[in-house]
Amino acid sequence: MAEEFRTEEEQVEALKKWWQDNGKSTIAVIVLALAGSLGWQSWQQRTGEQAEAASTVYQSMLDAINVSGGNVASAEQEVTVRHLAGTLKTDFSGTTYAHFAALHLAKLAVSEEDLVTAEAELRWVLNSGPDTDMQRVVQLRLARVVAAAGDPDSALSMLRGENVGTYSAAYAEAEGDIQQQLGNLDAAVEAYRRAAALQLDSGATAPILELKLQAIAQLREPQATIPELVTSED
Amino acid sequence: MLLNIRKNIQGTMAKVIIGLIVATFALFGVESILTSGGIAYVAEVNGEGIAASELQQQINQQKRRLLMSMGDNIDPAMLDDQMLAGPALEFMIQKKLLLQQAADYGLAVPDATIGTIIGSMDAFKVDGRFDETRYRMLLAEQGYSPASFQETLREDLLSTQLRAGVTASEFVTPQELELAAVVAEEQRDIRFLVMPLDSFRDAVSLSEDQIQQWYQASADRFQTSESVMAETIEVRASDFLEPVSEQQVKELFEAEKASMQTAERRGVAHILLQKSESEGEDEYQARVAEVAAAVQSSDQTFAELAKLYSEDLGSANFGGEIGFTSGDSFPPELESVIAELQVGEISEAIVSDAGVHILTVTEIQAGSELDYATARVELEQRLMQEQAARRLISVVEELRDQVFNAETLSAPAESLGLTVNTGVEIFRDTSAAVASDPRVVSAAFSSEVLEDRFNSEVIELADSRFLVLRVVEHKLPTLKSLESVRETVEALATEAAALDAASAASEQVIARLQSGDSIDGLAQELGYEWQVELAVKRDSRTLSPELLRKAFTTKAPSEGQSRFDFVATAAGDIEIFELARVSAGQLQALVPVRRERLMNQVLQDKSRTIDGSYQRSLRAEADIVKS
Repeated sequence: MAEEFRTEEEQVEALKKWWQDNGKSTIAVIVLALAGSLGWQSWQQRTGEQAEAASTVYQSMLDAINVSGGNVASAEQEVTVRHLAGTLKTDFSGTTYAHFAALHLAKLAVSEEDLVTAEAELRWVLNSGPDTDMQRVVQLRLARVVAAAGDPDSALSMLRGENVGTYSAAYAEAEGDIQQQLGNLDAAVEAYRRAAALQLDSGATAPILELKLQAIAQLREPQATIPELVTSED
Repeated sequence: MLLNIRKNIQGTMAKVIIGLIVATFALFGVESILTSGGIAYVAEVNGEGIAASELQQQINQQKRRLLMSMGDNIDPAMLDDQMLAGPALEFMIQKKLLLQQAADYGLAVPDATIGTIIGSMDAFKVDGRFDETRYRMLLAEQGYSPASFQETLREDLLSTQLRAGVTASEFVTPQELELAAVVAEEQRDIRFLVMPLDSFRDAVSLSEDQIQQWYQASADRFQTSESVMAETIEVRASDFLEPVSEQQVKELFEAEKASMQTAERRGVAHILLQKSESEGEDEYQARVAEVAAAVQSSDQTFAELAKLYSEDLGSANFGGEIGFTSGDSFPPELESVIAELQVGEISEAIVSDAGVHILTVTEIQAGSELDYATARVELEQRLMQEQAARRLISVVEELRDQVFNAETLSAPAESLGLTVNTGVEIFRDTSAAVASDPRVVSAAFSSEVLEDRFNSEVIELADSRFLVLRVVEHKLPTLKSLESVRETVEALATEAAALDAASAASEQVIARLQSGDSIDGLAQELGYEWQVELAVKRDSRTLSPELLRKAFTTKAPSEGQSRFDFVATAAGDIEIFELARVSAGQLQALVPVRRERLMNQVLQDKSRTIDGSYQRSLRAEADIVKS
């Protein structure tokens, strides 16, 4: 290091002068930096604590769902699930746990054929800024619920026109179901075909989809026997 | 550089700088500048490494799982690290992606939850309560530290929470369930007649030309399997068994004696009398004497007496039993008495720190005293095997070095005193009857060994056997001569001809059915059995699987019409069927159990699809580097 000052006294002198010129602003910068850093740390800690609290509520909700065996909930368990999910949605509304809670409430509503509530829950998730994956999952469910509620045309428009990434098989199957509901059998066959091919690409099997395709294709095609489709039984 | 700092630290400016550095550490911790250098990574997922050691741990876990589910029957090739590494890495990448997503979503699991879960796991309980020692012991057995086990649990919970949110919230709408019911619960009315293939088979007579033709046409079925002729050197521990000296056996015996013997064990029961606070010494002594006398003269069992008198609450209701001793479980003053008692004999009153005991021995389990003559054979075997294993390892080391440098196997064999086996045939097809170990096969057909004719590496096989091989000749598949396979060719050709004839006959039957003949009338006329199955469902077990499948893939007939077709079954029959009616499934008609089963099927389909899509999506957006 090049030494610019000759003696200790000169250095101290220069430093004092510099301090008089810049001391206040230096202190201000240090204080601001400290406050920012402490604030960031405590914010992070608060977020972490909030996430942990939400996690505990969510875990209890999952336990209640599992105890009641998924679909058939006892009335008591159902009240518990609703209560816990409601807590997540109101007290922890900014967290992903709240989204998950709403998705489970939608499922519960569908199982009770309360499609209005199901739709509201799904829309709530869509409106609270989910990431792309969640958006695609929920958009698909919303379209299916809307179709079930008797509005297949709106449902179809919800399924179309967007890039749905790796979810295309599930979207195509839903489209097939809706087209069938509308009586457009050719369009349904086409959608199911697309879904089955996409399923095959991903290496997964979907037996019910295959049956639907087989059955509806039998209605449409002239030949007596339908060639074997993707078979999971072999 | 340090010297420089030391020199410059004298300057006031430098002190300020050092002060700033100190402040940084104080505020942000040492971790802020430490990097995780020096760890070997096998892959990077969005910049986060998967360490080679983590992968190895995953492989080991997979091995344990395989061993547990398949036991000793397991094919050792399945436990090969290299075989397991690929899937294990995929699994870890997928897991890492889920965890990263969970972190992005701000999912968290509090320590308290982990604690509760560990506390409630049955595996860690002794007598119904969490036991710290057992916990640590079990973890160590599985290769975990408490910290790493908790971390694993946390990760499991995080990915469960994520999947529970995304996948387990999937549902089936009423419309979708109805659509599924229409197809899955479809019912078909079927009549069919069974035409055995036997009669057609008997009628087949093949000319030499036909056999020749069939043989030529199916040439690819009659190829010899590809193989190599090889030389091998095989070493195993038993090759190195050598006698050991009496002296060595004796030394081992002395060292092992204690652990090989078991001491005599005595089951002990007692009646305990304790001085109560309100009681004077004399009163206590009098009470003791009274009980002692009563016990000695009573004809009740000791268990009954213990219940009556003993003040040891833990044992009084259990016959007074306080467990077994080999002479060191209880205080010496009791042990000396216990050692002298016969089974059922009752002692005088004996004083210990706990109070006064009246003892009895309930059971004596004889110990085993080990004498040298009995133990000798086993110990000698063990010594020989240990010696052989050491010899084996050094020979294998030496063999590895030598075969790597040698052109053939004969020189290494000679220098190590081993034998070369010649004329060993190794088939490429590992499913063949004379299949070699898959590791040997993959070595023999590797390009270095097969084409370049180098010696293979020394391969470790099961049961501590080692093998090295060199290919002498590569035998490519060739067409087997007709004479050597004539019997098979004839059988197959006959079968094919019979099936052709039966098919032609079936077509004729179907033509008659289509022109209006009834299936029962035709069956009677031709002498075949016929059957009716109404409202057959897809999961019916009354029809042959071939007929069921064909009947359900045949296009539905129009109202009042029928469709006809036939199938060959695995049982060797032809089944000609009439599909008379197809009725769509109806959700309302289903019994609750079947409805719920259908619901679960549809839900499973949908959940699986979403789960797969979600994981592939994470994967597609991730930046993954495998090294």
